[in-house]
Amino acid sequence: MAGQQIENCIRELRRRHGDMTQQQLGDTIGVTRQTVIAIENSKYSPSLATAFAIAAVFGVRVDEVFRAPQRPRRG
Amino acid sequence: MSSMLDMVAMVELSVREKSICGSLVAVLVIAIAYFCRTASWIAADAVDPGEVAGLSVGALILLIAVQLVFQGLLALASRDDPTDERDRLIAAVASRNAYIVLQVGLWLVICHIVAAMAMQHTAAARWFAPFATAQLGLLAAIAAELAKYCSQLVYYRRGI
Repeated sequence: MAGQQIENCIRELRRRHGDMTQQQLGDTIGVTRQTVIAIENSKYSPSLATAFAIAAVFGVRVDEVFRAPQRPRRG
Repeated sequence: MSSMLDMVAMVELSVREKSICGSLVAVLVIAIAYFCRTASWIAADAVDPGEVAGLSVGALILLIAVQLVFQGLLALASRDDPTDERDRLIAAVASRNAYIVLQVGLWLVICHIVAAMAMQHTAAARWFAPFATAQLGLLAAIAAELAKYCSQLVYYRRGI
């Protein structure tokens, strides 16, 4: 499960939004700081609702925050 | 500074992880002590119902007391610890793993009961007595609980 996590640029977006802390982001979207840490480190793929909430906090589209992991090509 | 705090947050245990670790250690230590004692009784063919009841009730009270003290201290020392979607997902997947362990344990108990019929008049019959079967069932339930705790810790550390 842990090997198929989606990638994201939340850390970069937090920096761009006045060095927003993980706690502040977690409080805004209704998850714990530990969950924000897990999402940032690609250890947890958030629910759609949380993904949209994160995108809304930064004022961007969901696909600007999250992207599918690169899969190695066969043959 | 922000990235340093992020790195510290990665290695520190959350309140929930500490709580699970405490429960894991408490159940493991008490279960080992309990099963060592009951196994010695079965080996000596000296199972006394009074002693069994005393040991079972004692182990249960000890487990509750240890959990109450540990979880209480943890709650006092920590801030509010809300749960979110990740906690619920981890608990659900850990419960699924525990269910698999319980299923295996259940099949072992069934095999044990069937084997008991074949072992009735052998020297090893005491290991297949109803008391031993009951202990195997209890062991399966505890193993499932331990599997749940271990799964939760792994998912919190490695991701889910």
